[in-house]
Amino acid sequence: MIPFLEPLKQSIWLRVTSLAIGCGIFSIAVWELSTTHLPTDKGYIALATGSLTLALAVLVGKIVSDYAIIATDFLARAILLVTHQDSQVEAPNPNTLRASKDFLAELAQNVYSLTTASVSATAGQSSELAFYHSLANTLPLPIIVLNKNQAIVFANEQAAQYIGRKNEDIINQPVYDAMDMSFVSDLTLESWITNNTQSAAIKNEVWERVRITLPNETRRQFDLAAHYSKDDTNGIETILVIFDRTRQYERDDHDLTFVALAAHELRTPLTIMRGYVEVFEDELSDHLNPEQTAFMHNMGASAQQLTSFVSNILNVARVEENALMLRLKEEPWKEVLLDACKDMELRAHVHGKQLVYDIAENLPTVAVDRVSIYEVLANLIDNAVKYTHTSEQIIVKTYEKDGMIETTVTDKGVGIASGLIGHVFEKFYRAHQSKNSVGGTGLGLYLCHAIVAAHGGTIWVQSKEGEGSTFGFTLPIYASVADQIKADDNGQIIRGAHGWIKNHSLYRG
Amino acid sequence: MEAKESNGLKVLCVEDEHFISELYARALRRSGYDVTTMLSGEDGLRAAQSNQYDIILLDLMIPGITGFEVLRRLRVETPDLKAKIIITTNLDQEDDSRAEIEKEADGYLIKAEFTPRQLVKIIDDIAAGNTPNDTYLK
Repeated sequence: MIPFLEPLKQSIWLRVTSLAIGCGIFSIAVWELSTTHLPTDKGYIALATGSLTLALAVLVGKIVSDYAIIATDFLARAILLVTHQDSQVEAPNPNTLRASKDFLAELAQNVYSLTTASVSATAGQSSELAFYHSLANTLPLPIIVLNKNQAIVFANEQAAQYIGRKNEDIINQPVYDAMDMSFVSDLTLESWITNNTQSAAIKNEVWERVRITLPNETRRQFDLAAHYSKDDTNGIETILVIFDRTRQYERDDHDLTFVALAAHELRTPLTIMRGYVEVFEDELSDHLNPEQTAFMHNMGASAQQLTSFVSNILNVARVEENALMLRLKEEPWKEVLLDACKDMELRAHVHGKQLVYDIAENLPTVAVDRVSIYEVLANLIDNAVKYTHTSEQIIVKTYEKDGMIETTVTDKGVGIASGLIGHVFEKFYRAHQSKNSVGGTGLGLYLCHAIVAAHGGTIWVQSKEGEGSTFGFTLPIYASVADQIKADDNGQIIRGAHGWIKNHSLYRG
Repeated sequence: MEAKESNGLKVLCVEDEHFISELYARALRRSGYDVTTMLSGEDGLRAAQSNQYDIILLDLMIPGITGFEVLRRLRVETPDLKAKIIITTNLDQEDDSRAEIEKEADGYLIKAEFTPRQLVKIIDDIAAGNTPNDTYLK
């Protein structure tokens, strides 16, 4: 019997015994009353009878309480085992219940069967769980599981280690608080999941070149694979797998830094070359025949192209270091645009293309960094020239739209395949089919995106393979940011251009 | 393009890169400016302090005392300097020091961002009294 049932047994025993004693005393009293009228020797008989009754009562009480406790003991053991309240307790023994068992005994037996079934099931489940747990921890890949609130419900050891946090600190934390991630395009993890919750049931996605800053300021770069499954019954909605690429991507970045250092050394000789070409143009133009004049133009256009290339490299390196600073000032857009395009006309001209303008009248002034926006226009027009193999016109159009100034560059060139179009603003991305036929670094549009975004505008592309492309970007009208600009001592807004899109809107600058 | 008549304006060009100063001087002379070139900071400072120039083009990286030092000393030692001082550089200054230079100077040009022809246009504008910081200068 379980020891703590002892008081129960004793109380049953005590009550039955008290009842028996009570009966004995009552019978003695009755006997005593009747014997006062009887001969005295019968009084002794009565006393003996009373004592015997008392002894019997005590014995009966003990037997009854013992018997009653057996079923209770059985039930209690069964329940204790199921609820794991007492690990010391032994399983109940069905033999203690005799063959004539009543309803209670049967009930006890049923409860015990149920408990043992449930106990063995739990043991099986936890061993299965332990298997998956150790599997997840043995995999050399960081794995993170999110619930529908985008909080972390599971992270394997590699994941916790990779993101530089303790496992217990990140469980139940929103993933964006646990991981300070930046992406190369607008499609961030957050925006993807948000889209999915509105539309998709099951979806997969892969990101390249995701950057994370650890709590100790270390930076890592990785590819991220995600699986989304809506309304999963286990409370799992998104599974993230991280593939570390820090070493590989850092090598690219180091290469870029080196190229930027080298490019910087090209600036002075290039400036000088362009200067002397100009001297020739100014002082020799009367003496040269048309062919020689064309050669001069080719030389000038090539020197200028090289200059654009160098400044692209330098600016991308600055974007990477968060060191490209834009100074937004009030400017007449038509003049800025035509100034930049004039430089590009020569380049278009030597490649047999012509720039055509469609400029809306009475455009309001814009808030723009003249030098940086020149880079944007130079890159867009340069692309239009590069990717058009026939002598088609390149149309530069600008107009007011939704409180912004929108400018588009349209070509009738090779266009971009629909599957690739989402990536054109990513760093080092080049449409595969053109890689071998057209030169380029895969940095120009990435830079354009960073510069336009820093202006507070957006850049977009519309394209059909074989029919041409339109690239467009918007700039804020000066009046809409005038207050900010006037508030500055020097009448300008300084903004940093960074190519990395922070994952969480909370941090978006 | 024919050279223009002298406009009587004097330009001092402090620049140690010989080709650059030759290009600037040639383009400016053809547009009617009277140009003097100096190679070092000391010579540049001395010439500038004679206060006979209308415009000074000052490179930051020059032998001897730096362009920034020349600028600082001119502002302190020659407060009545009539010349407009335009900084020309290929250096990418840290933002703080650049802001400091911009405060002291009348203009700040990155050499790679303009050609001699454009320089002439800028100098013409400055000579005509337009505030240089507004339009051309980064």
